[in-house]
Amino acid sequence: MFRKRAVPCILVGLSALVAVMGMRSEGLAQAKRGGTIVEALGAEPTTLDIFKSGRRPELTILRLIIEPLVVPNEKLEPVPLLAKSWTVSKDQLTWTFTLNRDIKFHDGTQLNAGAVKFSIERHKKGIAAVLLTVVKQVDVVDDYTVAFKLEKPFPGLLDNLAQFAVGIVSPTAVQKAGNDWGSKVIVGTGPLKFKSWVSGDRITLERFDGYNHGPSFVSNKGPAYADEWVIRFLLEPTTLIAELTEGNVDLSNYIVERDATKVKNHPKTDLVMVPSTISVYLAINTSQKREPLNDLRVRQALTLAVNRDAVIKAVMAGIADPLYSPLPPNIKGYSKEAEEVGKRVNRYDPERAKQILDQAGWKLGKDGIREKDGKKLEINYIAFTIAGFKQMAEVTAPMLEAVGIKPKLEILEAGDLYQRVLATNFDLLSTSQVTSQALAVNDMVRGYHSKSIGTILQWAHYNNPEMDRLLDTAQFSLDAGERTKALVEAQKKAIEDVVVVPIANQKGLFGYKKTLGGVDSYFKHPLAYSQLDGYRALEIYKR
Amino acid sequence: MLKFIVHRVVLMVPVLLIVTVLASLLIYFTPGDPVRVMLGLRANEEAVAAIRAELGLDKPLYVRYFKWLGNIVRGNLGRSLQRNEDIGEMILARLPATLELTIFALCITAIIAIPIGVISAVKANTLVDNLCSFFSLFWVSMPGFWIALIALLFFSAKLHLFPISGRLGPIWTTQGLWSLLLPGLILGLRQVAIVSRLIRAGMLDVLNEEYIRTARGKGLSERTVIYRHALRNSMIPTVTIFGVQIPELLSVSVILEIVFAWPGLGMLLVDAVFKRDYTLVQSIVLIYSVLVIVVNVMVDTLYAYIDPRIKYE
Repeated sequence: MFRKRAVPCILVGLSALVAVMGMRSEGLAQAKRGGTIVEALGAEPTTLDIFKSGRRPELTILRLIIEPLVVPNEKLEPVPLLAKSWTVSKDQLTWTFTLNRDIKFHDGTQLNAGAVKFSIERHKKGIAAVLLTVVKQVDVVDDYTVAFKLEKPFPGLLDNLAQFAVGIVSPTAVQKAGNDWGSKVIVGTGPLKFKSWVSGDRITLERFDGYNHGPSFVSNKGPAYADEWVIRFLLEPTTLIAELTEGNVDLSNYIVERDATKVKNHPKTDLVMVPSTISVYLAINTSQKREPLNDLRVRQALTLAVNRDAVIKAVMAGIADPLYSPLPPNIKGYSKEAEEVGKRVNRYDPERAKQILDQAGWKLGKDGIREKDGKKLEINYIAFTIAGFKQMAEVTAPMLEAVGIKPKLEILEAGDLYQRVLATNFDLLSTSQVTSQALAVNDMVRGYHSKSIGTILQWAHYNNPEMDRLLDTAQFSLDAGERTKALVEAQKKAIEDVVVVPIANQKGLFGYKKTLGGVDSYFKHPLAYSQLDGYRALEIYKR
Repeated sequence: MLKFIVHRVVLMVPVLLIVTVLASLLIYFTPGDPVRVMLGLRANEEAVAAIRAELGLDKPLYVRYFKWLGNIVRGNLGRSLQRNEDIGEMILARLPATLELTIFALCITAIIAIPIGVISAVKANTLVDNLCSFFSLFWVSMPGFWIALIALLFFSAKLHLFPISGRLGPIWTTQGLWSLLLPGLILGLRQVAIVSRLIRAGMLDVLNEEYIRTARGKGLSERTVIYRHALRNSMIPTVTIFGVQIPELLSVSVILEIVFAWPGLGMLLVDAVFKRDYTLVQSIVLIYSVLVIVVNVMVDTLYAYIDPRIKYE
């Protein structure tokens, strides 16, 4: 009996095993080399000079070509990439990095300590200088060892170096290229190398066959699967979606919310929706000179008047999560504890908003606008011409009017708006912030430390010595526990002081053709949509 | 004739100078800092100041303008502030796409607008004329952006008659011509609507002239009256209209360039304005001005061929 039953059981078991192995080998076989992957961007980069590139279209491309010394893993801890190890001196003033000896630049030159010194010194004069302020000098110890000398101990150095914005380039290529650097010549160590840029049309990259050092969290260590990676600039979203659904474009992370369902439901395409590192909010000018929002009570009323769910529904087609903290939740150092405070401060409660304004002496006038000492409760509300920000301003303005605040809305082009912000000539701004490095401490320093006043991301012109102290501790204390505590307190303080009105944590939308493989593997990293998007070249392939 | 052309070319110089000065002033006084726009939100003041100095933006406007002008005289359009690319190369890379689109659209306009205008005038106030009026009114009333998107979705995405976007090659290649057809037709048809109405009005004026009555009185066939007497005499305003259409086509083409991802000069100009790329804006405006002036000289020259009474003294 046993034997009679055992034979079919063993056969079934064997066939199941064969089937599973077959599926597995089929899965692996699918990850094949070759072909051209076409990606669509909704904007054309201005330059591909890493030292001058700070915007999304530039970095989306540069992260495929240029890499930093270290890179954040899935837990957002820096892990080796171009540097294979590092040590810190006892006084914490010298960080010594040992480079991976097997890495070459796309131009065939060797990655060495000289290249790191050249790149970092140039970054110190460029747009990423803010990440390297504590770096006093970079010394070449030997060909493959480089020492960073700091002005003062800075435990966050590794996190800052784990940014593609401080990527390492080939000094030989930069010097040879002269004026062509950044437009005709871009040389790094990344999985794809630059081939050509047809202005207004496309950028073509090709596989770097010498790539062999994919980070620990990437399933393919290199080289990339596709022979070529073409990036087309399709400025009109309707055109982009038509090209994607008709199959001429393989993937795009420039899908707007209104098109999400179309891409998801189309038989040829699919959509990945992940939490992004974008926080959408209304920035308040808290400058002491600027009435009436220099009064905390008016700011509290402002945030209580805004119905986040309604804004998300009207402006983002319902595709976003309500935000209660100024920071997006999926970044290193984000505080859940502060979020709980945010849920209280930033809840939707227009009746409470009215009470607070009454208590602050702002009484309702006959025209529905509040007044105090003969002055109306009017605010200058500005927004970018970008559709989402403009719509958010238009949707929130009536919410403010409902509690008796009169917004005077102006829609401004970016250049104009930046000037208004720097000149503190506004009260409220409809905007968003893409986290700079997915590091809460950096975003807090950028947005709330008084030393950042004069840069655009300190929209609020917020100047509070207590906040400065907390953020200095969060950056420079040598005690990890103290740093964490200070960072949590700083987030709570920003929320309690109502420096911004948080609205939403936008979703990252990535549309792709179903004929592509490797998308699931690519999205295992929490920053795949943003800071780590360069590894799409290693993971994604054509079946 | 040669003297006339030389005279007009010499006159171009002050016109171009005025245009470039105006363009420089306009972009200069438009709020916005090119370095801030270039570096985005995260740059600190030191980085902004360093790059401003590197690009020479810390110098007064007149110094920058004369430096740019000096380069122009030497045949060098300089380098783009934002892209650090040679502007001459940038323009040369994108001018063919713009010229193809514009000239193709102009041909479509000429082929369709002239017969429609003539028929509408000859058959004035009949069903044919009303249909032509309806067609014109429809195209003029519909926003160009909307028409372009609808055409793209219907003819390209649904019926697959044309590529959805991009320029697949120069006009003389099959792929290139195929990709040009839809944006070119839309741009051309939009102008047909305007031009055919103007031709109709011009023809109606001519048809009421005494010499037309005389021609008819002499017993000439209606066909001869229309084509030998009326049409030829209405050609002068028609040629003028086509001359005027060039700047119109260049400006409308920007919308089509965006919708069809057509890598033309218009899109580059719009981008340069938004990014406050002063040198690039000045140079593209200069090239556009040269194009418009050259077309105007050609139109003036054509008058003599059309009407031998016109002399170029």
